[in-house]
Amino acid sequence: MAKLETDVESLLKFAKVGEFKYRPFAKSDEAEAGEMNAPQIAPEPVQPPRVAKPIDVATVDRARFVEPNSAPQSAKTSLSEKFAVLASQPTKVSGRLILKKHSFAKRALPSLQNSMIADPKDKPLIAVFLRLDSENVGGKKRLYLTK
Amino acid sequence: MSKKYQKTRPRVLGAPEAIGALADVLATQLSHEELRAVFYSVGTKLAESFALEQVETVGDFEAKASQALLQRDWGWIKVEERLESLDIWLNDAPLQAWFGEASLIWSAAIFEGLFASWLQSLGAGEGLELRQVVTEVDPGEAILFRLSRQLKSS
Repeated sequence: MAKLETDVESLLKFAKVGEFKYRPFAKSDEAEAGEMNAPQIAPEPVQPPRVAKPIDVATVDRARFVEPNSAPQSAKTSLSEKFAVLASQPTKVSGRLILKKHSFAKRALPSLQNSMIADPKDKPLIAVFLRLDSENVGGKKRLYLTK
Repeated sequence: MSKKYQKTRPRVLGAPEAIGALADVLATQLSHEELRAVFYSVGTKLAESFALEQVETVGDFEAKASQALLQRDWGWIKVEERLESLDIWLNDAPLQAWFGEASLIWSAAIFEGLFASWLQSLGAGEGLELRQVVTEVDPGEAILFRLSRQLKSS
């Protein structure tokens, strides 16, 4: 099945898949893939995908598209007073971490395409595009996940 | 038509192509982090060109900023007041038209710099930072910037 290599420097999984299937990972995949080709290194234990979402963004409807010149929601709030209120709020790290990193074992590679990893320290932002390439090797499609 | 005007007239028709090519070259030379820094600085520079005046309220800011943007066909903003933040939604931004779809991960920093400079000039102190909340921008969607108190990075 799969040959898995780890690139520690980039924190990206560099995946080579013997035969790619666009479907969720299932237990039967391991058995099936194991019959085809034993992995050279042991895959990581299957863990739930860890998807860190930006803080507070869950409540935001990003898809909205408002019309110009519509009535402001808080038109009469003094800007200087608002600045003072915001400055008095407890400090916290704002959410800018966008991490869509799925376990390789989940075979969720398509969803990783065009995802990015951002610096959890938020500033400066370090974004990495993930690219999914493929080539035919011996009649089988091999996938490469690269940054 | 004066010679001076002839030399400095905007010639907007081909400008997007030249700007797009410039962005493409920059993108091959700089990391996304560096691109964001450059474009943030460009936004800061733009804020020097047209300051917002007579802004007293949140509504004034939304109206004046939108007016400035609309006059240049740069979209418009919608401001939402939250307990811990002031959210600025930028709609119809010209980023894809100027820099291409691939640039959306970093090009919005130009408006981050523009809005941050505007808000600082209007009294937002150093304890407040404006940041683009989600850098994963989809074409046609509004871009969210958030002014809030932030921990300073070392």
